[in-house]
Amino acid sequence: MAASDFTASLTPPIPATTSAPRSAISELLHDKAAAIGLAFILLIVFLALFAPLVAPYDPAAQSIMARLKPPVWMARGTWEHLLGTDNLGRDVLSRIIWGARATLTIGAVTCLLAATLGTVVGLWAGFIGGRTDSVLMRLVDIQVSFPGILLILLVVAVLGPGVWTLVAVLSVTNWMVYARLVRGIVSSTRQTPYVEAAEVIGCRPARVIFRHILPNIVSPLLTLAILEFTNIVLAEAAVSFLGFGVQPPATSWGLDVASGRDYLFIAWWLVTFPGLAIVVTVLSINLFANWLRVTTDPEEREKRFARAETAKRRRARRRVGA
Amino acid sequence: MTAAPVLSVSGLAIDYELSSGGLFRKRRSVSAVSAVSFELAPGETLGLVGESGSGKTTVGRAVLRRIPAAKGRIVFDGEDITNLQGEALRRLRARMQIVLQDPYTSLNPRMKVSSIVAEPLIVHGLAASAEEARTAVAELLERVGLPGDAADRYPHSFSGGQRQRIGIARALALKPALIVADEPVSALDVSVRAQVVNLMQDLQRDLGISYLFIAHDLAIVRHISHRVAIMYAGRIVEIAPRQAIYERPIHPYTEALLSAVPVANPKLQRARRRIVPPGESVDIANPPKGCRFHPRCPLASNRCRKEEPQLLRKSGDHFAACWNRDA
Repeated sequence: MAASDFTASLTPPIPATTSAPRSAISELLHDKAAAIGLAFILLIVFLALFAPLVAPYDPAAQSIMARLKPPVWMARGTWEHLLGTDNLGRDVLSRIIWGARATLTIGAVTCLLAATLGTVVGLWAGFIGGRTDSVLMRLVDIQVSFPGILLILLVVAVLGPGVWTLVAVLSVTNWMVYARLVRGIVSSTRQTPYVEAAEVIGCRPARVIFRHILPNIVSPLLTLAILEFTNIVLAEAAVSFLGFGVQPPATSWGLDVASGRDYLFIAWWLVTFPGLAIVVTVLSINLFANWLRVTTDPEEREKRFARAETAKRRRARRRVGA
Repeated sequence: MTAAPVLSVSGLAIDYELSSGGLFRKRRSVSAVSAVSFELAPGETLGLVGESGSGKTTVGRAVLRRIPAAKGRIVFDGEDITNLQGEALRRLRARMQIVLQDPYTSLNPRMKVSSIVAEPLIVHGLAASAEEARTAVAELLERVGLPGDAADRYPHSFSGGQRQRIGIARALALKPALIVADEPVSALDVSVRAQVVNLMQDLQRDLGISYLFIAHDLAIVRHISHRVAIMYAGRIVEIAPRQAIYERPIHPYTEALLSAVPVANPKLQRARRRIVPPGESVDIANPPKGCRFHPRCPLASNRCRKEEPQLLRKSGDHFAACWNRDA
């Protein structure tokens, strides 16, 4: 068959143009789980910011008379302490509201710092490759094999405990996982034809990295950062429990969970409520981040839009049929 | 070919490293391509044909300076580009472009078509304003036959043929003198192939672009090429004008290759004799001594087993590397 034989001039059908994706807000409201997640995140941030105005009590105020009061709906509960009190008579609700400050700050800032550091190292290693890659990844291996808690205790013992020391130390002990992930994706993305095309066009390395490689690794990075957030919150709790993290009278959710453990059998609310706060926060971030991931991916975003449209039409048809 | 060639490659050899020679290992390499020479005139298409692993893609990448040459010279537009580095190399990129094989992975999924096509203009500072870039993109998209609203869409909403058109528009943006087309249609549906090939021919006629057209589909190559080079195991075994290659092949490998192409007429097809060279393709890490084709060649003589034939003029523009055949 000669090439001139198949001059079939079938024009491929042009896919129907989807109308421009709606504004971000209406798109978010459409995804109920994500909207609820974002609402929760905003609520917690609001509580943390305005803790002095919102919290019913001083989180450090003790009252021996009101020790270990259960939450309001239980037999001995009172309206004065909605979520009960701890072994020193401190209000659990107030402690959760104040604790959000330290927990959110440490979690968010540490995640950001560690992710940035890890991403930079990973990009560098994955993009340059060769010997640079080997050296950087061996550094990562060394850091991974070094017991994190020991490093934390060492640094805190030297610098003295405090929120920012904790942030710094936790960042330094948690960036490696990002470096490994990013390095892996970058060294495979580097081989993709669109990156080759960009280089043949004459893009400088910085442009190749920021326009072509980085946008395509955002999804896994986002997922990892959220998983790590939980880890950071728990690590902070562990360090605070050992007395090297958040210092009383300040508090954090992790610290409350840790110190409430001793009373687990007689006062379950000490561990449960701060623990629930951690769970709900992480869940909210997850729901919202999932939406964000889809929204930043053009293909996924259009698919979601198409699904929503079909659902709407099906509903309309059913209504007409009824 | 009276005009000065756009591209002239002489004695090109490319080695691939098998192990990159770490601290404790010795550097080992394999010769992927050697003694490759050809010229390409302005507005000409040279088809580069060969089976998988014959080194045709490697040659294309070396011409674009994506892979370093171990030996030989690459002269582009009268300038020796074999060792060009840094900024000079980046500027050279404006004049030679690539069209890649797989249209599904060669476009960044997170960039709109307008950004993809405008990117070459932006990185070479050729579009003064966003307005200018938009006009240029609209012209390019029209040129390659894409609908006007394509600019605002993402690559995933296009078919394979349309995506390949986007890739061609991107390559055209810089008005290159040479385009290396690395199997540009082999990933496309048969019905779309002809359209894309015809588009490439139209562009060549209007803009005077030269193509180094890498392919394994002989029918497509016959359709688009002015001259054809046949590669086997890292060597060019025959190079000649299209007519001569397809009607009077000299090298036994070319003969075998052509006999493998089916003919659309069943009667003719039954009457044809297929030449099937015995054995496997050459392992380039351990090539045979002498002519690389001799273990599979029906004409192999003692000389073929000892001495490697050079690419010699057999008649007019017809070159072949064979001891036992003359035009």
